[in-house]
Amino acid sequence: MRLLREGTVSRWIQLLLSLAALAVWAGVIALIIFFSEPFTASRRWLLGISTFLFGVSLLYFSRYRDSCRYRLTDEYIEYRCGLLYETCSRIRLDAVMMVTEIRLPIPFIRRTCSLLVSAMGGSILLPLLYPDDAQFLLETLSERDCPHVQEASETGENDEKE
Amino acid sequence: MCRKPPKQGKMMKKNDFIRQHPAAIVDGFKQYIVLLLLPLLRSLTLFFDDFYTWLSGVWMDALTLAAIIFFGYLQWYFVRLFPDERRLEHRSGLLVRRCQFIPFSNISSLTVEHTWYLKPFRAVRMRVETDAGYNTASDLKVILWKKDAEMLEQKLSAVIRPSGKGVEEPIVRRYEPRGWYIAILSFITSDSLTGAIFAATFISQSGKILGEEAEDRLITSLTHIMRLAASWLPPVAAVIAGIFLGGWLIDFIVTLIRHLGFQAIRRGGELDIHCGIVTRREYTLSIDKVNFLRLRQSLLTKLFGYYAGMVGCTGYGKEKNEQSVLLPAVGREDLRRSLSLILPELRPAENRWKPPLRTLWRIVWPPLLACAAVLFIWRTAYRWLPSLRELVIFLGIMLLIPSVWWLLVRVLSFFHTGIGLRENIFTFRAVSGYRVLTVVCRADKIDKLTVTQNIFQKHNHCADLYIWLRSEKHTCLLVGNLSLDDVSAFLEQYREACRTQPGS
Repeated sequence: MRLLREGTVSRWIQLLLSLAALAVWAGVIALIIFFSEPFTASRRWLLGISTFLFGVSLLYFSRYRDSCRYRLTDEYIEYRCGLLYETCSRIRLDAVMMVTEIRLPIPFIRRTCSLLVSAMGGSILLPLLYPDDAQFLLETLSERDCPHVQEASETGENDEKE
Repeated sequence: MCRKPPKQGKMMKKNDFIRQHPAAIVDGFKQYIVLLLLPLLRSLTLFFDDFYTWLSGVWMDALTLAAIIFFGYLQWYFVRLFPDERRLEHRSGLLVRRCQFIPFSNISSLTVEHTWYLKPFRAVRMRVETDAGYNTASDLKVILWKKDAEMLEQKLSAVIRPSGKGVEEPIVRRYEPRGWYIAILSFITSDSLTGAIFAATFISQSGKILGEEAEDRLITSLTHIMRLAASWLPPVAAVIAGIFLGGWLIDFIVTLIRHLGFQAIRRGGELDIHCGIVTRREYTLSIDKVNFLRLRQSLLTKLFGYYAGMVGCTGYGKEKNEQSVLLPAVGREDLRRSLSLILPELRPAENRWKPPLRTLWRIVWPPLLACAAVLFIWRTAYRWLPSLRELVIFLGIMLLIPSVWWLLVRVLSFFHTGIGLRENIFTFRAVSGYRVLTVVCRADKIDKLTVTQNIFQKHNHCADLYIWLRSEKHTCLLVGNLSLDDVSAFLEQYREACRTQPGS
């Protein structure tokens, strides 16, 4: 087995997750301030707990990004992520059927892209990869051997017979 | 990465990419467009002389229609296909941009559908399927110009047919069944429920499009026909019989129309299947991706020795009301000949392992119990409901027929069930409901095997074998009540086949 490439996802994932956490925190704060009429006494406690959880989530996401790693060998592609609950997905390269590149419409992360590797029985999403990594993975996964065409193009023959 | 768009000022070559046919702009929203357009046109005929009065009344609807068409145009504009010799690149998406890369060698099936209302515009619907993706939706579904679809078909054929150095031109073998074989297929596969759903959808849709008055008139006419046709039956019985028979007849006709003109053509590693007269469908299947062959029989066709052959290949028979037909209906002799012609890789073998005689009671007791229960209920109802005796007799007969039918199928299944083996190709024979099935597949297309044994089977030294076949849909086959020795022998042979078969 030969290692072809390994790496992490881009730092934008940390920012996006942190923004999502911020949005949730803002929503919770608004709920506590405007809709906590029967529990006014515990308002300060609720604000404190939600702010503490927000801070913890920011710390968690800063570490989470480091845990998101992919690994491409000549036999399989693997993606690991998670700190408290770690998952590892692996797909054999000969089971990969198609690859889909997805770009989000957010201007500052337009250079990064996500890859959805679809195989028989499941798929792996590699989120927000650096352009070079995405390019390499895409070329390797989507242009794997196609025996008949390869053979014909080596001999210069035309494939179309009828 | 997606290809970069051509730089400004540089002329784009015409054959760089393929766009969808403009019919795709409205196709996605056609139901809503019809719902909006018909009332608009109807009101226009009323206010034909006074255009501004008409416009002041319908401006909201007209604006909605224009918005729908505009979004359809945007969606159409951003869909592009970039085929090369090895793979197909599909770009789509207005905000979230998606590039899908599908190597031709991974395509299981490519379907070109000549839908009747798209034919005048030289547009076809094309679906591309691989073994990956969702089991409810196609991996790629587009509406293309006919010539573009043909070009893509040729590119796929160039990859899946054996070609190149030292490989001869593949022999073309063609199978065209007789017309009445298609009728037998429709007879076997028609389903009352599907027909009833089709009729209900038709009636409700006609109500939506033509108005409630038309829907009411249709229902009144149907009721009148039913009353005339079954004057000697109680009204409830007539309605039940009408739904069953009418539903079955509708499904029979729909299946017949879909499969008339069927032909299968084998060219090397490619299997082309064409069928349909109103909407013509052309399927290109890769033989390597064919998972299994399934021969289906009912009790009647089993007695007359006819089979309907289905093929399990991702994408074939996936759409609503579609069936993965390979041999519409064939007799025993024709089956051998036709399979040698178009699918010699998967020919059924005789049973090597089958249930022992001591398991016969285990097979027949459930339908016997069902028959006894129906007779008991029937007799009780007849005695306790004297005012409804006509209806009770009718319903009793209607309930007894499926129970007796089930008993006959189960008895037959005892002689049918088993496992055969020929050159690493397994043949599984089983019964599912009222269907008698024969499934032929390579060892590497079996994804999972489960052996189960309950306490009664332990006593009899037999077990059930569940075979999970590679398929988009849940495809599990139960070969029941095999002796433990036979199960062990089968598992040993399966291991051996997996060891010797490449790719397993």
